[in-house]
Amino acid sequence: MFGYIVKRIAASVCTLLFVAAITFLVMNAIPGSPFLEENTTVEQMELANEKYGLDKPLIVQLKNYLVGYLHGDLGTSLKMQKGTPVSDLIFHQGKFVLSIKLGILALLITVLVGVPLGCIAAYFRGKWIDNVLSVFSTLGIAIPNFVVATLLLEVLAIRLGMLPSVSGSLTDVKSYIMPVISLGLYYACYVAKLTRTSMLDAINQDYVRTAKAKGLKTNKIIFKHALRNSLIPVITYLGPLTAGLMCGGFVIETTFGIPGLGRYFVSSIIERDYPVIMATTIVLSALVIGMNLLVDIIYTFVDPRITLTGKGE
Amino acid sequence: MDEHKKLIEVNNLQVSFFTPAGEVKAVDGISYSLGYNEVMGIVGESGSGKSVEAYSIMGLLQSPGKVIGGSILLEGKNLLDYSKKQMRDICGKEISMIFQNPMTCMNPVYTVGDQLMEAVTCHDKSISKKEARNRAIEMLNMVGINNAEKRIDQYPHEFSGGMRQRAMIAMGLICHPKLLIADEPTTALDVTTQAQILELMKELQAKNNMSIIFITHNLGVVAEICDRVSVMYAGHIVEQGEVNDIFYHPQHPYTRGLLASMPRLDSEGKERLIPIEGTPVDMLDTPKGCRFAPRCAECMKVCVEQEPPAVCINANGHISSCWQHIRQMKEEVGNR
Amino acid sequence: MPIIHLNNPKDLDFLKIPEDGFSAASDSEKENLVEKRKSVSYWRDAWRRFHSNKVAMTALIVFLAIVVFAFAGPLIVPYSYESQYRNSAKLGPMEYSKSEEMERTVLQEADAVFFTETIMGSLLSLSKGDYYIKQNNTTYCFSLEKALEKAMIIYNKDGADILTIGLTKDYKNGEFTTVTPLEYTIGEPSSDAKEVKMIKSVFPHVFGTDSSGRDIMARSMYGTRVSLIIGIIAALIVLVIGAAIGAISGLCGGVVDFVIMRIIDLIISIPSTLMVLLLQVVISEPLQKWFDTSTWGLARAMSDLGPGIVSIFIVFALLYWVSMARIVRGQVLQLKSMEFITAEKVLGAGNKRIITRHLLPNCVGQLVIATCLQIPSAIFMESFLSYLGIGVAAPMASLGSMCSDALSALSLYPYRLLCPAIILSVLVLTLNLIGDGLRDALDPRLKK
Repeated sequence: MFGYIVKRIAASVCTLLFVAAITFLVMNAIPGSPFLEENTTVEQMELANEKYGLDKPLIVQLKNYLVGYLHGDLGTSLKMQKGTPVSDLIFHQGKFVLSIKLGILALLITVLVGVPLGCIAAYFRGKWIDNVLSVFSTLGIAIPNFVVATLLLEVLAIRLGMLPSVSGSLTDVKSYIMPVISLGLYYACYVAKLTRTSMLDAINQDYVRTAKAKGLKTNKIIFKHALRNSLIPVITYLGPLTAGLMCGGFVIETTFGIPGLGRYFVSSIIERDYPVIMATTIVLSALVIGMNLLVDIIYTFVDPRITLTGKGE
Repeated sequence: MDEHKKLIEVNNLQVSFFTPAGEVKAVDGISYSLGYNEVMGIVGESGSGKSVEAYSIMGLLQSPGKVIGGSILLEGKNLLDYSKKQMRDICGKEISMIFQNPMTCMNPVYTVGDQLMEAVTCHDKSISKKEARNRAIEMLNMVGINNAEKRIDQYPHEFSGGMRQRAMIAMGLICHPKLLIADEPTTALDVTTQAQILELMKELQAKNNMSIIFITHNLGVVAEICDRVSVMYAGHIVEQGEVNDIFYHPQHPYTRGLLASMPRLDSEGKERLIPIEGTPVDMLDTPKGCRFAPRCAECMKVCVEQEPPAVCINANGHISSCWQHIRQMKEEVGNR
Repeated sequence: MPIIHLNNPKDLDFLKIPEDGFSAASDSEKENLVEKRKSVSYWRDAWRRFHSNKVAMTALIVFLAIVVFAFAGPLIVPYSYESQYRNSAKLGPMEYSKSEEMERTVLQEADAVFFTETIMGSLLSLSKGDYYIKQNNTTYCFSLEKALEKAMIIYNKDGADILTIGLTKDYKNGEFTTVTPLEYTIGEPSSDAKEVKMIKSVFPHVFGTDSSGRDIMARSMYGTRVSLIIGIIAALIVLVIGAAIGAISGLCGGVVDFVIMRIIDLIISIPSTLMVLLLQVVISEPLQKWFDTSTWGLARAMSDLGPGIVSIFIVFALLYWVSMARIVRGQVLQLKSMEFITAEKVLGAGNKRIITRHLLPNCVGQLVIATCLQIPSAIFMESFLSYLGIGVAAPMASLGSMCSDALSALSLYPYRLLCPAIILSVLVLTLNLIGDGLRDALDPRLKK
């Protein structure tokens, strides 16, 4: 178990390094330069390049980044807020915390709403409640989150005035409601469908028949025997889910005007602020990869078959 | 006369599956009875309705399957009238069942012991966890699992196929049921393990005074373990009787065909195996006469028109449903 | 039915046996007994299952309606996705601009008009020169001495002067106070004459227009077209790459399989959205350059789609094949152990034959399902990128960019968001439902 976790952590670090390298290469392939403005001369460009080490060979630049990261130095912004350390931009100005809060709340909504609804639908399979839930979850995964966000904004905030329309820095509880709902709705619906399917799948398994033959109560069969098995696909989905919530975060932050990390990342790409791109990518990737790692560890608790094989399948 | 001389009596049981393509009469009016301490084999090819019949005793039929007629009497009480709760009390305690594939019949995420103890505690709320555990260890020892104290905390995937089937048997017997239904318990196992499991079941049957309904398509297994045999074809029991009668004096053409298609160790010389020609009937659209008629070499005009009546061959309850017997009787009457 | 005892002939009495009942039945009589059901092929059976699935069939019909809307719609609607119709900005659904109102009023009496203030007739004003008009198989040629602005050419089939010019300033209370006849000749137009296209009716702006005066329905049609093309091509790319890599991985096994599986593990743990955003920005400009310089046919075709769309394809080709490859690999491994593959190998078939003749046909059901469900995910990705402003570039329309455009004036003009959003949602919904239906139809084992 311990060895397995160590192995997985090592693999995660490798993945992170790989992501860093890829991002670096891709980023340098973006046409244009951070210093390219209308009146910059060639000399000014070269001077700036030299100052920020952009004239060195790519491999050296990459090495400098990685060495910096190992020391907790995320570099200095080249453009967006010239000269400010990137770690200040990301962590101290609350961007990171804001995005993480939003993401965690949406994740909680997704799991705490999606899984029970899926169970209810599977339990009442074919009844009206299952049909209603199926219709809603199918609709939920067909509506893009930016549409949900704008409609909520329009109806709840502007037309009805129930919630603050400008969420800004999410200062009070009310301002969280709309961003979290619009971020979590799609995934909650997806998880509900997923839980229902895997629950029904589990209910049709031979071991459930064995449990029935033993004379167990229906509730016990469903919540002891079927649920734990049907949670395995849901846990698998947590990794992509985290990545998806981040991706949704970009859009939601843009729509609600929340100064979070996602919005910042999008503008850093457009501005070609290399250190910011690198640092945001690494931080966000570390989140996703960390979540994947966590999922693998949760696995070993839910499914005893995994510890022995040491593999997720 | 003892009212409950028979442990279980099945009368004219009818089970249908209501599929989109139409009604499939998987079990169409079968009757048999089983005494205490008796082992009955139900033999038939795939799709003949033998598992469906067993599932309806346990109340395990899945939609779209439904019992539409007949009765199943356990010690004189009709199980079909029982509520879900009453059935839960019966299942696992009075009747238990073991299944074909030991690899998938145990929940992979709980230990074997947990699943065994659950079978005890759900029928006896007063039993302590410790006692239940001891019972489980005792049962595992009884079914021949070595080192049961350690094995009990292992997960099903740490058991081999044969071991799992032993554990399944232990789970089935843990409440000392009067009737054990074994649905092809040896089919998924290799031949040596098969023999061991059969041996174990025979032994446990004698030790625990229980009856067994043994469902299989393997006549060799039947010969080894059963006292009585029912041969099923397309939802009907075509022949039933004591195991020797069936094996040495088969009456129904289908039984004869089955026996002829089975390799025998005691056969002399180079007898060829004779397969039964044709394919099983389409259960969606059963013929109005005898269901075996299309494949029967001795088929007569009446076979095509009317279902054959059941004919009692001897005093030991050897019954065969075939028009040939009627023809013979008529001929004898004519000759007299 | 009571049991008959062998030694008790009286039991036989209740039986009614036909005269010749005990004579052997002929083969034909036995044949008649069993009504042979035609054995149905896999595909026919799957179609039957799909056909009886009401939800999936409805979804299919709606989906086909959307396809017709996207591809045949622009043939009917005379507006284009990029033209900004002057005086027609910010119209609500089914509203007409002032000039269009004027055209409609004139058309109540006239048979066809040409109005210089709209560009229905493709020009905003007519400069000095030769023109011709075709109406009812007759070609009317005329020449203008000076440019014609803010005026209408009116064609009246049965009036005394069948071609007249009315000036906007003479238009009062729904009528022209004065019209001047247009002098024309009938016959072949001179070689440098330009055609003036008259219109017979004013097509309504069904969904209204946006703030630049572009027709929202026309844009929705093109946007849907873009979404469909992106969805289908991206899914096909994923299918081809994923199936190929998955099949190779499964068939070769050993080191190849190990390496491919590690690459897949790696790609799965990369946050793909970040990469998509980065790649999208990286690829677009070089692609545009390549389109501008290359004369290669494919480059020209892709240039029509625009670099934004093509880079979405590239991103899908690079990152999204992994799940497809996993599905195919799993299927291949499962099928590989089956006897018929062994038999084929014994007969000396090469890997290529095994892949194309046996493995692919056997996992085609799974592939169809996965591909169908990939389409909505590609559509979502495109709309997401376009919404953030880095997908499809203006003036090309996309459902995502239309939603994004609508945000600025959402409270005033909610339909600008709703029209593309509803089409997008319905499109994704139907594709999901069709995918679910296909899964139930093609893989009955999975059906609950």
